[in-house]
Amino acid sequence: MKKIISVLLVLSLAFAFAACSKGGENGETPTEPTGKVITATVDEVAAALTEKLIFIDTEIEKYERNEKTLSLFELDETVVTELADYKAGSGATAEEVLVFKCADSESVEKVYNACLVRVQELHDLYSNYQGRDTKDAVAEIDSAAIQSYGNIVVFAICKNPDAVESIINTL
Amino acid sequence: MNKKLLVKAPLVLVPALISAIMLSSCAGTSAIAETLARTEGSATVLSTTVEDTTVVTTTETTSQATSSETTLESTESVTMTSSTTETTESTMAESSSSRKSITDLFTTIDFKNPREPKTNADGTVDFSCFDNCAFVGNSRLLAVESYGFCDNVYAKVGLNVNTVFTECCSGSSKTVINELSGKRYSKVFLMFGDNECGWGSMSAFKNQYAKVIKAVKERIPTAKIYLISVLPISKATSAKNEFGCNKDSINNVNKIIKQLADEQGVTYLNAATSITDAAGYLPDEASPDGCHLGKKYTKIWLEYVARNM
Repeated sequence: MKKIISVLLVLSLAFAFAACSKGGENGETPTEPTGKVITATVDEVAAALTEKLIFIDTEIEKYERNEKTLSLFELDETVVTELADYKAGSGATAEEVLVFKCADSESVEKVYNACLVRVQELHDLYSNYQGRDTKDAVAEIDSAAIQSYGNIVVFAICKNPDAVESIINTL
Repeated sequence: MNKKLLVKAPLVLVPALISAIMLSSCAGTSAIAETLARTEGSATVLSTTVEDTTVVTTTETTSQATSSETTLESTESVTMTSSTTETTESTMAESSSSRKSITDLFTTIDFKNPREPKTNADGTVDFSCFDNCAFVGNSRLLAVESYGFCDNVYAKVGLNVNTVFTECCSGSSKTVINELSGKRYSKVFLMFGDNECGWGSMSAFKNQYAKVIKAVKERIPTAKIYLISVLPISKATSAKNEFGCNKDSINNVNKIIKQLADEQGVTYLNAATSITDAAGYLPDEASPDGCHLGKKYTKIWLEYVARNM
Protein backbone atom coordinates (compact mmCIF):
# COMPACT_ATOMS: atom_id res chain seq x y z
CA MET A 1 0.00 0.00 0.00
CA LYS A 2 2.82 2.37 1.02
CA LYS A 3 4.55 1.68 -2.29
CA ILE A 4 1.41 2.59 -4.22
CA ILE A 5 1.03 5.85 -2.25
CA SER A 6 4.66 6.80 -2.84
CA VAL A 7 4.34 6.05 -6.55
CA LEU A 8 1.19 8.17 -6.68
CA LEU A 9 3.00 10.99 -4.85
CA VAL A 10 5.90 10.91 -7.30
CA LEU A 11 3.50 10.91 -10.23
CA SER A 12 1.50 13.81 -8.82
CA LEU A 13 4.72 15.80 -8.32
CA ALA A 14 5.75 15.07 -11.88
CA PHE A 15 2.37 16.29 -13.18
CA ALA A 16 2.65 19.38 -11.01
CA PHE A 17 6.02 20.27 -12.57
CA ALA A 18 4.62 19.72 -16.04
CA ALA A 19 1.68 22.02 -15.31
CA CYS A 20 4.02 24.76 -14.03
CA SER A 21 5.85 24.89 -17.34
CA LYS A 22 2.88 26.45 -19.10
CA GLY A 23 3.98 29.73 -17.51
CA GLY A 24 3.61 32.98 -19.34
CA GLU A 25 1.79 34.92 -16.66
CA ASN A 26 3.52 38.12 -15.65
CA GLY A 27 5.14 38.07 -12.26
CA GLU A 28 5.80 34.33 -12.19
CA THR A 29 9.21 33.01 -11.38
CA PRO A 30 11.00 30.84 -13.94
CA THR A 31 9.09 27.65 -14.52
CA GLU A 32 10.49 24.19 -14.24
CA PRO A 33 11.10 22.50 -17.55
CA THR A 34 8.41 20.17 -18.81
CA GLY A 35 10.93 17.49 -19.48
CA LYS A 36 10.51 18.36 -23.12
CA VAL A 37 13.98 18.46 -24.62
CA ILE A 38 14.27 20.78 -27.55
CA THR A 39 16.70 19.35 -30.05
CA ALA A 40 15.94 21.90 -32.75
CA THR A 41 18.13 24.98 -33.11
CA VAL A 42 16.95 28.32 -31.75
CA ASP A 43 16.36 29.42 -35.33
CA GLU A 44 14.22 26.40 -36.11
CA VAL A 45 12.16 26.94 -32.96
CA ALA A 46 11.67 30.64 -33.69
CA ALA A 47 10.82 29.98 -37.34
CA ALA A 48 8.25 27.32 -36.39
CA LEU A 49 6.62 29.62 -33.85
CA THR A 50 6.59 32.53 -36.29
CA GLU A 51 4.94 30.37 -38.90
CA LYS A 52 2.25 28.94 -36.64
CA LEU A 53 1.42 31.72 -34.19
CA ILE A 54 -1.10 34.41 -35.17
CA PHE A 55 -0.06 38.04 -35.49
CA ILE A 56 -1.78 41.36 -36.24
CA ASP A 57 1.19 42.34 -38.39
CA THR A 58 1.62 39.62 -40.96
CA GLU A 59 5.15 40.67 -41.87
CA ILE A 60 7.23 39.02 -39.16
CA GLU A 61 10.84 38.80 -40.25
CA LYS A 62 14.09 37.63 -38.84
CA TYR A 63 15.94 40.46 -37.13
CA GLU A 64 19.67 40.00 -37.52
CA ARG A 65 21.03 42.43 -34.97
CA ASN A 66 21.32 40.15 -31.96
CA GLU A 67 23.61 42.53 -30.09
CA LYS A 68 20.94 45.19 -30.18
CA THR A 69 18.26 42.75 -29.07
CA LEU A 70 20.39 41.64 -26.15
CA SER A 71 21.02 45.24 -25.15
CA LEU A 72 17.25 45.87 -25.10
CA PHE A 73 16.97 43.04 -22.59
CA GLU A 74 20.13 44.15 -20.79
CA LEU A 75 21.69 40.76 -21.44
CA ASP A 76 24.96 39.68 -23.02
CA GLU A 77 26.67 36.69 -24.62
CA THR A 78 27.82 35.29 -21.30
CA VAL A 79 24.17 34.70 -20.42
CA VAL A 80 22.70 34.01 -23.85
CA THR A 81 24.82 31.78 -26.05
CA GLU A 82 22.42 31.69 -29.02
CA LEU A 83 19.49 33.84 -30.00
CA ALA A 84 16.86 33.93 -32.71
CA ASP A 85 14.70 37.02 -33.05
CA TYR A 86 11.74 37.39 -35.37
CA LYS A 87 9.77 40.60 -35.15
CA ALA A 88 7.15 42.79 -36.76
CA GLY A 89 9.19 45.43 -38.52
CA SER A 90 6.53 48.07 -39.07
CA GLY A 91 6.37 49.22 -35.45
CA ALA A 92 2.57 49.07 -35.49
CA THR A 93 2.72 46.41 -32.77
CA ALA A 94 5.30 44.96 -30.40
CA GLU A 95 4.88 41.49 -31.91
CA GLU A 96 8.00 39.42 -31.60
CA VAL A 97 9.23 35.84 -31.17
CA LEU A 98 12.48 35.39 -29.33
CA VAL A 99 14.22 32.12 -28.56
CA PHE A 100 17.14 32.37 -26.15
CA LYS A 101 19.61 29.57 -25.53
CA CYS A 102 21.01 30.24 -22.08
CA ALA A 103 24.44 29.40 -20.75
CA ASP A 104 23.12 27.59 -17.67
CA SER A 105 20.16 27.36 -15.31
CA GLU A 106 21.15 30.57 -13.55
CA SER A 107 21.12 32.33 -16.91
CA VAL A 108 17.64 30.98 -17.57
CA GLU A 109 16.42 32.87 -14.54
CA LYS A 110 18.17 36.06 -15.68
CA VAL A 111 16.64 35.82 -19.13
CA TYR A 112 13.21 35.08 -17.72
CA ASN A 113 13.37 38.14 -15.47
CA ALA A 114 14.68 40.27 -18.35
CA CYS A 115 11.64 39.20 -20.37
CA LEU A 116 9.33 40.30 -17.56
CA VAL A 117 11.03 43.71 -17.45
CA ARG A 118 10.75 44.02 -21.23
CA VAL A 119 7.04 43.25 -21.08
CA GLN A 120 6.56 46.07 -18.57
CA GLU A 121 8.57 48.49 -20.74
CA LEU A 122 6.56 47.64 -23.82
CA HIS A 123 3.32 47.92 -21.88
CA ASP A 124 4.26 51.43 -20.73
CA LEU A 125 5.41 52.43 -24.20
CA TYR A 126 2.33 51.31 -26.08
CA SER A 127 -0.26 52.24 -23.47
CA ASN A 128 1.10 55.81 -23.38
CA TYR A 129 1.02 56.18 -27.14
CA GLN A 130 -0.75 59.52 -27.27
CA GLY A 131 -4.11 59.46 -28.89
CA ARG A 132 -3.55 56.22 -30.78
CA ASP A 133 -5.71 53.17 -30.47
CA THR A 134 -3.19 50.64 -29.20
CA LYS A 135 -5.47 48.46 -27.09
CA ASP A 136 -4.89 45.37 -29.27
CA ALA A 137 -1.13 45.86 -29.16
CA VAL A 138 -1.20 46.37 -25.37
CA ALA A 139 -3.41 43.29 -24.85
CA GLU A 140 -0.87 41.19 -26.75
CA ILE A 141 1.99 42.58 -24.68
CA ASP A 142 0.18 41.85 -21.42
CA SER A 143 -0.44 38.23 -22.37
CA ALA A 144 3.09 37.58 -23.66
CA ALA A 145 4.28 33.99 -23.38
CA ILE A 146 7.49 33.50 -21.43
CA GLN A 147 8.37 29.82 -21.12
CA SER A 148 11.47 27.81 -20.36
CA TYR A 149 12.44 24.41 -21.72
CA GLY A 150 15.72 23.33 -20.18
CA ASN A 151 18.19 26.04 -21.14
CA ILE A 152 15.87 27.47 -23.78
CA VAL A 153 13.62 30.43 -23.01
CA VAL A 154 10.84 31.33 -25.42
CA PHE A 155 9.33 34.83 -25.46
CA ALA A 156 6.39 35.51 -27.75
CA ILE A 157 4.10 38.48 -28.22
CA CYS A 158 1.27 37.45 -30.50
CA LYS A 159 -2.48 36.99 -30.60
CA ASN A 160 -2.47 33.38 -29.37
CA PRO A 161 0.35 32.92 -26.83
CA ASP A 162 -1.37 29.81 -25.44
CA ALA A 163 -0.40 28.00 -28.62
CA VAL A 164 3.32 28.28 -27.91
CA GLU A 165 3.58 25.10 -25.86
CA SER A 166 1.69 22.94 -28.32
CA ILE A 167 3.88 24.19 -31.16
CA ILE A 168 7.03 23.48 -29.14
CA ASN A 169 5.76 19.97 -28.46
CA THR A 170 5.60 19.26 -32.17
CA LEU A 171 9.30 19.99 -32.58
CA MET B 1 66.81 71.54 -73.08
CA ASN B 2 67.93 68.37 -71.47
CA LYS B 3 67.40 65.39 -73.83
CA LYS B 4 66.48 63.13 -70.96
CA LEU B 5 63.76 65.53 -69.97
CA LEU B 6 62.31 65.64 -73.47
CA VAL B 7 62.02 61.87 -73.56
CA LYS B 8 60.40 61.54 -70.15
CA ALA B 9 57.99 64.47 -70.37
CA PRO B 10 55.33 62.66 -72.42
CA LEU B 11 55.34 59.76 -69.96
CA VAL B 12 53.95 62.03 -67.26
CA LEU B 13 52.00 64.52 -69.33
CA VAL B 14 50.00 62.07 -71.43
CA PRO B 15 48.26 60.32 -68.51
CA ALA B 16 47.72 63.69 -66.87
CA LEU B 17 46.03 65.08 -69.97
CA ILE B 18 43.87 61.97 -70.43
CA SER B 19 42.71 62.23 -66.81
CA ALA B 20 41.96 65.91 -67.24
CA ILE B 21 39.89 65.34 -70.37
CA MET B 22 37.95 62.53 -68.73
CA LEU B 23 37.12 64.69 -65.73
CA SER B 24 36.00 67.55 -67.95
CA SER B 25 33.53 65.28 -69.70
CA CYS B 26 31.51 64.40 -66.64
CA ALA B 27 28.51 66.52 -65.72
CA GLY B 28 27.16 67.95 -62.46
CA THR B 29 30.13 69.14 -60.52
CA SER B 30 28.48 69.40 -57.14
CA ALA B 31 27.17 65.88 -57.57
CA ILE B 32 30.66 64.70 -58.31
CA ALA B 33 31.88 66.41 -55.21
CA GLU B 34 29.25 64.58 -53.20
CA THR B 35 30.14 61.30 -54.84
CA LEU B 36 33.76 61.93 -54.07
CA ALA B 37 33.02 62.82 -50.49
CA ARG B 38 31.11 59.57 -50.14
CA THR B 39 34.07 57.57 -51.35
CA GLU B 40 36.83 57.17 -48.80
CA GLY B 41 39.52 56.46 -51.35
CA SER B 42 38.86 59.58 -53.34
CA ALA B 43 38.62 61.91 -50.38
CA THR B 44 42.27 62.79 -50.67
CA VAL B 45 41.82 63.97 -54.22
CA LEU B 46 38.94 66.31 -53.52
CA SER B 47 40.35 69.66 -52.59
CA THR B 48 37.81 72.45 -52.97
CA THR B 49 34.12 72.80 -53.55
CA VAL B 50 32.80 76.29 -53.98
CA GLU B 51 29.12 76.46 -54.79
CA ASP B 52 28.85 74.63 -58.07
CA THR B 53 32.50 74.76 -58.95
CA THR B 54 34.68 71.82 -58.17
CA VAL B 55 38.40 72.07 -58.49
CA VAL B 56 40.35 68.89 -58.35
CA THR B 57 44.06 69.43 -58.20
CA THR B 58 46.73 66.83 -58.35
CA THR B 59 50.29 68.11 -58.20
CA GLU B 60 53.19 66.01 -59.20
CA THR B 61 56.58 66.93 -57.81
CA THR B 62 57.97 70.12 -59.20
CA SER B 63 61.63 70.83 -58.85
CA GLN B 64 62.40 73.18 -61.72
CA ALA B 65 60.60 75.65 -63.85
CA THR B 66 58.97 73.74 -66.72
CA SER B 67 55.30 73.25 -66.00
CA SER B 68 52.40 72.22 -68.08
CA GLU B 69 48.96 73.31 -66.95
CA THR B 70 45.67 72.25 -68.37
CA THR B 71 42.48 74.04 -67.39
CA LEU B 72 39.19 72.77 -68.70
CA GLU B 73 35.95 74.75 -68.58
CA SER B 74 35.36 77.44 -66.02
CA THR B 75 33.12 75.38 -63.78
CA GLU B 76 35.25 72.26 -63.64
CA SER B 77 38.92 72.81 -63.81
CA VAL B 78 41.38 70.07 -63.35
CA THR B 79 44.89 71.32 -62.89
CA MET B 80 47.69 68.88 -63.30
CA THR B 81 51.05 70.53 -62.80
CA SER B 82 54.00 68.41 -63.66
CA SER B 83 57.63 68.92 -64.05
CA THR B 84 59.98 66.42 -65.39
CA THR B 85 63.43 67.37 -64.36
CA GLU B 86 65.45 64.79 -62.45
CA THR B 87 62.50 62.50 -61.88
CA THR B 88 63.48 60.10 -59.15
CA GLU B 89 62.03 56.69 -58.39
CA SER B 90 60.14 58.08 -55.41
CA THR B 91 58.41 60.77 -57.44
CA MET B 92 57.46 58.15 -60.01
CA ALA B 93 55.85 56.18 -57.23
CA GLU B 94 53.96 59.25 -56.07
CA SER B 95 52.68 60.05 -59.53
CA SER B 96 51.63 56.44 -59.93
CA SER B 97 49.62 56.58 -56.73
CA SER B 98 47.98 59.84 -57.82
CA ARG B 99 46.95 58.25 -61.10
CA LYS B 100 45.63 55.27 -59.16
CA SER B 101 43.43 57.44 -56.96
CA ILE B 102 42.02 59.15 -60.05
CA THR B 103 41.29 55.75 -61.56
CA ASP B 104 39.52 54.70 -58.36
CA LEU B 105 37.55 57.91 -58.52
CA PHE B 106 36.24 57.19 -62.02
CA THR B 107 35.02 53.76 -61.05
CA THR B 108 32.82 55.30 -58.33
CA ILE B 109 31.10 57.90 -60.49
CA ASP B 110 28.03 57.14 -62.53
CA PHE B 111 28.73 59.43 -65.47
CA LYS B 112 25.19 59.20 -66.83
CA ASN B 113 23.65 60.54 -63.63
CA PRO B 114 26.07 61.35 -60.86
CA ARG B 115 23.27 61.93 -58.33
CA GLU B 116 21.83 58.44 -58.73
CA PRO B 117 22.64 56.17 -55.80
CA LYS B 118 24.26 52.82 -56.43
CA THR B 119 21.81 50.13 -57.42
CA ASN B 120 21.66 46.40 -56.86
CA ALA B 121 21.55 43.86 -59.67
CA ASP B 122 17.73 43.97 -59.61
CA GLY B 123 17.72 47.75 -60.10
CA THR B 124 16.70 48.57 -56.54
CA VAL B 125 18.65 51.15 -54.58
CA ASP B 126 21.63 49.96 -52.59
CA PHE B 127 20.85 51.37 -49.17
CA SER B 128 24.50 51.41 -48.21
CA CYS B 129 24.14 55.06 -49.29
CA PHE B 130 22.67 55.56 -45.79
CA ASP B 131 25.68 54.11 -43.99
CA ASN B 132 26.90 57.53 -42.98
CA CYS B 133 23.44 58.95 -42.31
CA ALA B 134 21.14 59.05 -39.30
CA PHE B 135 17.36 59.00 -39.07
CA VAL B 136 15.75 60.66 -36.06
CA GLY B 137 12.05 60.71 -35.35
CA ASN B 138 8.87 58.90 -34.48
CA SER B 139 7.77 55.27 -34.65
CA ARG B 140 7.34 55.30 -38.42
CA LEU B 141 11.13 55.25 -38.64
CA LEU B 142 11.41 52.04 -36.62
CA ALA B 143 10.76 50.04 -39.79
CA VAL B 144 13.86 51.53 -41.43
CA GLU B 145 16.01 49.82 -38.81
CA SER B 146 13.90 46.70 -38.25
CA TYR B 147 13.88 45.77 -41.92
CA GLY B 148 17.63 46.30 -42.06
CA PHE B 149 17.73 49.31 -44.40
CA CYS B 150 19.80 51.52 -42.09
CA ASP B 151 21.33 50.88 -38.69
CA ASN B 152 21.54 54.46 -37.51
CA VAL B 153 17.93 55.03 -36.54
CA TYR B 154 17.05 56.93 -33.37
CA ALA B 155 13.31 56.59 -33.08
CA LYS B 156 10.69 55.78 -30.54
CA VAL B 157 6.98 55.09 -30.35
CA GLY B 158 5.12 58.37 -29.76
CA LEU B 159 8.20 60.58 -30.07
CA ASN B 160 7.59 64.23 -30.91
CA VAL B 161 9.54 67.49 -31.19
CA ASN B 162 9.29 67.97 -27.43
CA THR B 163 10.07 64.49 -26.17
CA VAL B 164 13.08 64.10 -28.49
CA PHE B 165 14.89 66.17 -25.83
CA THR B 166 13.71 64.14 -22.86
CA GLU B 167 13.10 60.53 -23.85
CA CYS B 168 15.58 57.78 -24.59
CA CYS B 169 15.54 55.10 -27.25
CA SER B 170 14.84 51.61 -25.87
CA GLY B 171 17.98 50.16 -24.35
CA SER B 172 19.78 53.50 -24.18
CA SER B 173 20.37 55.96 -21.37
CA LYS B 174 20.91 58.94 -23.69
CA THR B 175 18.08 61.19 -24.78
CA VAL B 176 17.20 60.70 -28.43
CA ILE B 177 18.72 64.04 -29.48
CA ASN B 178 21.92 63.31 -27.58
CA GLU B 179 22.38 60.10 -29.54
CA LEU B 180 23.83 62.40 -32.21
CA SER B 181 26.47 63.89 -29.91
CA GLY B 182 29.97 62.93 -30.91
CA LYS B 183 28.79 61.27 -34.13
CA ARG B 184 29.95 62.35 -37.58
CA TYR B 185 27.02 61.60 -39.83
CA SER B 186 27.11 63.44 -43.14
CA LYS B 187 23.33 63.63 -43.35
CA VAL B 188 20.62 63.66 -40.71
CA PHE B 189 17.02 62.94 -41.68
CA LEU B 190 14.35 64.19 -39.28
CA MET B 191 10.84 62.79 -39.30
CA PHE B 192 8.38 64.56 -37.03
CA GLY B 193 4.84 65.79 -37.39
CA ASP B 194 2.76 62.60 -37.13
CA ASN B 195 2.38 62.84 -33.37
CA GLU B 196 1.94 66.60 -33.54
CA CYS B 197 -0.90 66.69 -36.08
CA GLY B 198 -3.42 67.20 -33.34
CA TRP B 199 -1.60 69.98 -31.55
CA GLY B 200 -3.75 73.03 -31.12
CA SER B 201 -0.99 75.35 -32.23
CA MET B 202 0.96 74.74 -35.40
CA SER B 203 3.22 77.65 -34.55
CA ALA B 204 4.21 75.84 -31.35
CA PHE B 205 5.10 72.80 -33.48
CA LYS B 206 7.07 74.94 -35.90
CA ASN B 207 9.00 76.73 -33.15
CA GLN B 208 9.81 73.52 -31.35
CA TYR B 209 10.85 71.77 -34.60
CA ALA B 210 13.20 74.72 -35.23
CA LYS B 211 14.77 73.96 -31.84
CA VAL B 212 15.30 70.36 -32.89
CA ILE B 213 17.06 71.52 -36.07
CA LYS B 214 19.24 73.85 -34.01
CA ALA B 215 20.09 71.04 -31.62
CA VAL B 216 21.12 68.79 -34.52
CA LYS B 217 23.30 71.56 -35.97
CA GLU B 218 24.96 72.03 -32.57
CA ARG B 219 25.73 68.35 -32.29
CA ILE B 220 26.87 67.76 -35.87
CA PRO B 221 27.64 71.14 -37.46
CA THR B 222 28.80 69.60 -40.73
CA ALA B 223 25.77 67.41 -41.31
CA LYS B 224 23.28 68.22 -44.04
CA ILE B 225 19.81 68.22 -42.50
CA TYR B 226 16.68 66.97 -44.22
CA LEU B 227 13.09 67.26 -43.02
CA ILE B 228 11.05 64.35 -44.29
CA SER B 229 7.38 65.06 -44.88
CA VAL B 230 4.74 63.31 -42.79
CA LEU B 231 3.83 60.17 -44.70
CA PRO B 232 0.19 59.55 -45.62
CA ILE B 233 -2.22 57.35 -43.65
CA SER B 234 -4.90 55.05 -45.01
CA LYS B 235 -8.43 56.25 -45.68
CA ALA B 236 -9.82 54.19 -42.78
CA THR B 237 -7.20 55.51 -40.35
CA SER B 238 -7.79 59.05 -41.54
CA ALA B 239 -11.51 58.60 -40.84
CA LYS B 240 -10.71 57.58 -37.24
CA ASN B 241 -9.06 60.98 -36.79
CA GLU B 242 -7.01 59.68 -33.86
CA PHE B 243 -5.51 62.62 -32.02
CA GLY B 244 -6.51 64.92 -34.85
CA CYS B 245 -4.47 63.01 -37.40
CA ASN B 246 -6.17 62.83 -40.79
CA LYS B 247 -5.41 63.52 -44.42
CA ASP B 248 -6.06 67.26 -44.17
CA SER B 249 -4.13 67.80 -40.96
CA ILE B 250 -1.17 65.89 -42.45
CA ASN B 251 -1.22 68.11 -45.54
CA ASN B 252 -1.34 71.14 -43.27
CA VAL B 253 1.59 69.92 -41.16
CA ASN B 254 3.59 69.24 -44.31
CA LYS B 255 3.08 72.82 -45.48
CA ILE B 256 4.46 74.01 -42.13
CA ILE B 257 7.44 71.63 -42.39
CA LYS B 258 8.26 72.85 -45.89
CA GLN B 259 8.03 76.47 -44.73
CA LEU B 260 10.30 75.69 -41.79
CA ALA B 261 12.84 73.98 -44.03
CA ASP B 262 12.99 77.06 -46.27
CA GLU B 263 13.40 79.37 -43.30
CA GLN B 264 16.08 77.23 -41.66
CA GLY B 265 18.05 76.59 -44.85
CA VAL B 266 17.60 72.84 -44.64
CA THR B 267 16.14 70.50 -47.24
CA TYR B 268 12.52 69.41 -47.32
CA LEU B 269 11.99 65.94 -48.78
CA ASN B 270 8.43 65.22 -49.79
CA ALA B 271 8.76 61.46 -49.50
CA ALA B 272 5.01 61.23 -48.97
CA THR B 273 4.48 61.66 -52.72
CA SER B 274 6.14 58.30 -53.35
CA ILE B 275 3.49 56.34 -51.41
CA THR B 276 0.33 58.43 -51.71
CA ASP B 277 -2.50 57.16 -53.91
CA ALA B 278 -4.57 59.29 -56.27
CA ALA B 279 -7.07 60.09 -53.51
CA GLY B 280 -4.34 61.29 -51.18
CA TYR B 281 -4.19 58.26 -48.90
CA LEU B 282 -1.79 55.47 -48.04
CA PRO B 283 -2.85 52.29 -49.88
CA ASP B 284 -4.44 49.74 -47.51
CA GLU B 285 -1.90 47.08 -48.41
CA ALA B 286 0.94 49.30 -47.21
CA SER B 287 0.43 48.92 -43.50
CA PRO B 288 -1.09 46.66 -40.83
CA ASP B 289 -2.64 49.64 -39.03
CA GLY B 290 -3.01 52.18 -41.82
CA CYS B 291 -0.05 54.15 -40.51
CA HIS B 292 3.13 52.13 -39.82
CA LEU B 293 4.54 50.84 -43.06
CA GLY B 294 5.43 47.30 -44.03
CA LYS B 295 8.65 46.43 -45.78
CA LYS B 296 7.57 47.11 -49.36
CA TYR B 297 6.37 50.64 -48.76
CA THR B 298 9.19 51.47 -46.37
CA LYS B 299 11.53 50.59 -49.19
CA ILE B 300 9.63 52.78 -51.64
CA TRP B 301 9.85 55.97 -49.60
CA LEU B 302 13.45 55.25 -48.66
CA GLU B 303 14.30 54.89 -52.33
CA TYR B 304 12.72 58.30 -52.86
CA VAL B 305 14.96 59.72 -50.15
CA ALA B 306 18.05 58.02 -51.57
CA ARG B 307 17.38 59.41 -55.04
CA ASN B 308 16.67 62.93 -53.83
CA MET B 309 19.19 63.50 -51.06
